Amino acid sequence: MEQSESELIGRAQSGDAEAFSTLARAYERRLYVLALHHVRDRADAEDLSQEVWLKAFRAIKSFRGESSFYTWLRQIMINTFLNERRALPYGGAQVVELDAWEASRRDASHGNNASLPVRSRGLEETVERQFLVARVLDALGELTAQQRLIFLLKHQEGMTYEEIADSLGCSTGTTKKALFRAVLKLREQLGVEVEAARYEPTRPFRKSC
Amino acid sequence: MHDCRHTQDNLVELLFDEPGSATRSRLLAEVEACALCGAQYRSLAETLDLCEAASAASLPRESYWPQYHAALSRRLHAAAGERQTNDARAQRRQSAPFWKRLLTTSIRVPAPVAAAAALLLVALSMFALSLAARSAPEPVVLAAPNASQGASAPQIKFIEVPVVQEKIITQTLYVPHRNSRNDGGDATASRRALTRENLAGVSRQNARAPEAEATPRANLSGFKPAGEVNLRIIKGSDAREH
Repeated sequence: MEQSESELIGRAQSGDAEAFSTLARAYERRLYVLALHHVRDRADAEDLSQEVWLKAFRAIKSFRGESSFYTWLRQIMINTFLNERRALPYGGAQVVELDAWEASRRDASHGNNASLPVRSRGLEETVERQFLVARVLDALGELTAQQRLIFLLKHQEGMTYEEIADSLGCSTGTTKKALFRAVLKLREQLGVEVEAARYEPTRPFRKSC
Repeated sequence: MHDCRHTQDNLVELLFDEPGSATRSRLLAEVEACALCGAQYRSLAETLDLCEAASAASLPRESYWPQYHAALSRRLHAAAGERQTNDARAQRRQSAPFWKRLLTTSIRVPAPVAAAAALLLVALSMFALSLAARSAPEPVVLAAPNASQGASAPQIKFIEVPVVQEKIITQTLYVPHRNSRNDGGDATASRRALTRENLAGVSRQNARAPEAEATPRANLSGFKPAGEVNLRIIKGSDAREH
């Protein structure tokens, strides 16, 4: 029988680790992706996201229900991200994926793509996706820690400028400037051309929370 | 009037749907009217779309999540056990008698205060040691530490050295002259007897100088040795010859 979030929170507050573990299932992927984009390494992202869950479990008694559980959890996550010093230097993570991608591109340029079996084409798509992830993670690595966190909170979490400013303890103006610079730097790092923008945008962007 | 710079400054906000509806409509109209602003808008939108696609693609395979969740569950259970232990310890502590709680109580002190207290303690200790060293007698270093001993500390020994207090006693003896003929046989005999007596007295004095000093001889009347006594034996003429 499915238990409601408030019931699970109540049990977790009385020390039930299993209830908290069930509660974590609902948000663990979202938290993991955010951690991955922040630290840009899968092993570190796993460690960091689990650290957030552990901190949340230790502090669950202080949860009063004044905000949603995820809002409360997100603040713990932001504090943990601000404290962590494990962000990789530029270009440290995805070397293997890039090599595999280049090999597949060479095959495709020699006309081998059509003759590839379905499984190989699926593999190539996977490699393409991995390459995209690697490109974006590398571009994120060029941002400062604050710019990266502000961009992720805005882009992935859909938080308002005021919410971000409150969470990070800075002004709304600082948040706006940091986001503006972050997007411009990402565009430069991802090599998106301004004049030759052939992409039909799906914007205005609004991320559902 | 269209201002490209002003419009482009607001493009990011437009992309995130931040401005109000009126501002948003005006900005969209300007983006459509101006080719440069439109290109800027489309490139920024493409950037965000790439990030969104990467975000969706960065999720691990489904097979990853069971082991992730198992690892998280293990850590949560370990944390729960730790919390129960801490709670039990806190409960035991609360039920302990007052004197036990008082003895085992610890207080949190800010690090700068603790450091200052430690420094003060060290300074006081050094001051007390220096005071003690000033009042102690100067040590006598008998031998300098050997250079081959390297970094070993020099050994300081205190040895009481007995000081022999010597007294030199000076005593003048008059020996009768051998050539004196007036005295005849009696004088010679008396001289010899006096010489024997003097010699015996001197040998006794050499053996027991303090005793000799304590028992004055008849011919040393009025002799008062001071700190040191010199004994001189003068072989020469009799006092009567002078």
